[in-house]
Amino acid sequence: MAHIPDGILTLPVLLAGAAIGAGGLAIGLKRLAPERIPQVAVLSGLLFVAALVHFPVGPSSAHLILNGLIGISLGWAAFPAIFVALVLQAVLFGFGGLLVLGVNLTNLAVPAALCGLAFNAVIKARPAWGVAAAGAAGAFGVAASMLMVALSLAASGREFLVAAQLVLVTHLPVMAIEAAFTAAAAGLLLKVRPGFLGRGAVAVVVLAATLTAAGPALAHKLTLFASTEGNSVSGHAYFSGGDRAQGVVVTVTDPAGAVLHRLTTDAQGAFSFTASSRADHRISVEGDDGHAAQFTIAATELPDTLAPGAPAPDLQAMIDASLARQLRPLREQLAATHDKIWWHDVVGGLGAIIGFFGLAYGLSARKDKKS
Amino acid sequence: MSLPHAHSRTARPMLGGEAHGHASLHDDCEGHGPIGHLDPRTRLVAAGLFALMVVSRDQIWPLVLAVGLALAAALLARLRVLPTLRRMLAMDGFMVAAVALLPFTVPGDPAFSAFGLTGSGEGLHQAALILLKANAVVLMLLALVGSMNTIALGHALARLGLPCKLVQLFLFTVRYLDLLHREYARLRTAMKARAFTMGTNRHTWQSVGYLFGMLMVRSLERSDRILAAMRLRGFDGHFPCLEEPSRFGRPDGLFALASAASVVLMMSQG
Repeated sequence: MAHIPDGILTLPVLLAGAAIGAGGLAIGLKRLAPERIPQVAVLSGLLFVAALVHFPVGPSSAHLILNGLIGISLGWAAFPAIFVALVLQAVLFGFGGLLVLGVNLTNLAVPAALCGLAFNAVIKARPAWGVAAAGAAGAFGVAASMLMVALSLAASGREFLVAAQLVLVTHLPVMAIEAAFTAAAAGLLLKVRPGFLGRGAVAVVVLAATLTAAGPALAHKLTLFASTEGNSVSGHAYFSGGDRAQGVVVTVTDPAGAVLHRLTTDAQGAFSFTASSRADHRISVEGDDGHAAQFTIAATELPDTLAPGAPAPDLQAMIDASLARQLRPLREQLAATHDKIWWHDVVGGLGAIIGFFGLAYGLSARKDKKS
Repeated sequence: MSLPHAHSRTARPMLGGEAHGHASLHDDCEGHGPIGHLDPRTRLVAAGLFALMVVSRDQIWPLVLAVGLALAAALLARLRVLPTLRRMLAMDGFMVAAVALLPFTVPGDPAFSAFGLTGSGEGLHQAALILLKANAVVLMLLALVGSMNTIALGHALARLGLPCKLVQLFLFTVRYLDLLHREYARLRTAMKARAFTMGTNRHTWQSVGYLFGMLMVRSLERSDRILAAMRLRGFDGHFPCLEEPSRFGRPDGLFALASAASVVLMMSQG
């Protein structure tokens, strides 16, 4: 699944991938001296050949991804190298697609570049750790790539979450293979061509943290919505994306924090209770996986006739009820627009990654100038 | 320089690897069929616009039409049937996980049940959309761009404004792909001759790691020699281009008209 085909991802994901891919490509090309082109080209060709090697994994088989090895040998130049290999694979074999090139490039090359940066740091500090670091880079390259594939799938719709998880799980053996493979290949390179691996760029290991921190972005937000109708309050809890939260505990407290009601949502994620006093009602839900949401019904939304025991006059109650009925769809719609924030989160997260890249680039460019 | 005989060996005709399908990388594909008469740039731009169009459609019929158009293009490009089918199946295999799960993960009216899970009609619909889109784009890509000489593709990319260095990298990669694959096949043959078989064990992974490490060492030595040869010939960051630049001609105009018409057709179906 390293090559996502066209048609699965939504346009915003495609655009974000293209933007990051183009940025990395620009950096990689800028740092690529013309006399290094033959070297990068043969490694890019190697990447293409490696995809043809199938390892048996029990009854099935897996093919190499090799972005860890490419990353530690090329650094930023991994972007153009992987881009060329992807274009050739798409054009000659029909692997992947056309518009997803940017996403596929980002998913493979960002981890590769990170591997390169981290590996160079390690080998500069502790040359003896080279082989182990290469093994780690091999595993990290696969893990981070698959995490990013999973993220791009999940960002395209909640219905791909299961597939995204499947991608992650099925690539666990590939991680092990790639770690052993990369360690062996790098060990040989370190012996036969000392000085080829681990020269050049400065390390910014912090970047690795941004990728691992991207994991929780897969989690979904729990949202709560409630409205009043007379003195009865009803509402529902749902996850961003629209799925109703079933069987979660709803707690209603007054402003002082005393618990008024404790309810559970039904199969539709709905709940209702009757307000017995005209005061702010704080409603909170807590999902079993640590998500929580809050909503406050202001005292002014409850009928002012709601002193304990006083019956509401009929006309007033009817106006309130019909008003509430008509307002409800509007308010639900308002609450639903909050879901769109999910998008902003994703794009913002990708923006943050671009930002970190820019920072890394700036820092390393400065160091280069000094030396 | 430790491999003085490498060149003479790699110059031999390809022994292994035909099964993988890029032995024909440098085949002159141009001039076959009406598509072959088009300017490579026209083909690239058309493929890109087609992909954009297909990905942004969300109804079944325009997409069925798109697959039809891609099929027509494949016929016009005289693509060979079996290899093309194999490639498309390979791509469908890639996304089988994502698509097969859709009926069970998209909420909607239950349409069927399998393995104790109910699949929704909406999910089936979405899975069909994705399959149609992916296959239409890949088929069109293979028909318009895959049928092109890879060198011509590189020049077309350069004339469409891709950075010069990237295109040089592309052309170099195309040039050395076959050599690398042959070198790989030779090393694998040597391993086979020593009774190496692939298994699910560390020994396999390590051995193939050494194989690729060796391949990298040899590739790097080769790239050093290439660079030395380039320096000798006064490489200044640019290559003169031997080929006559292609021009937009009457076939390109006709093709553009036909493409525009099919785009309008697809839009009107939506």
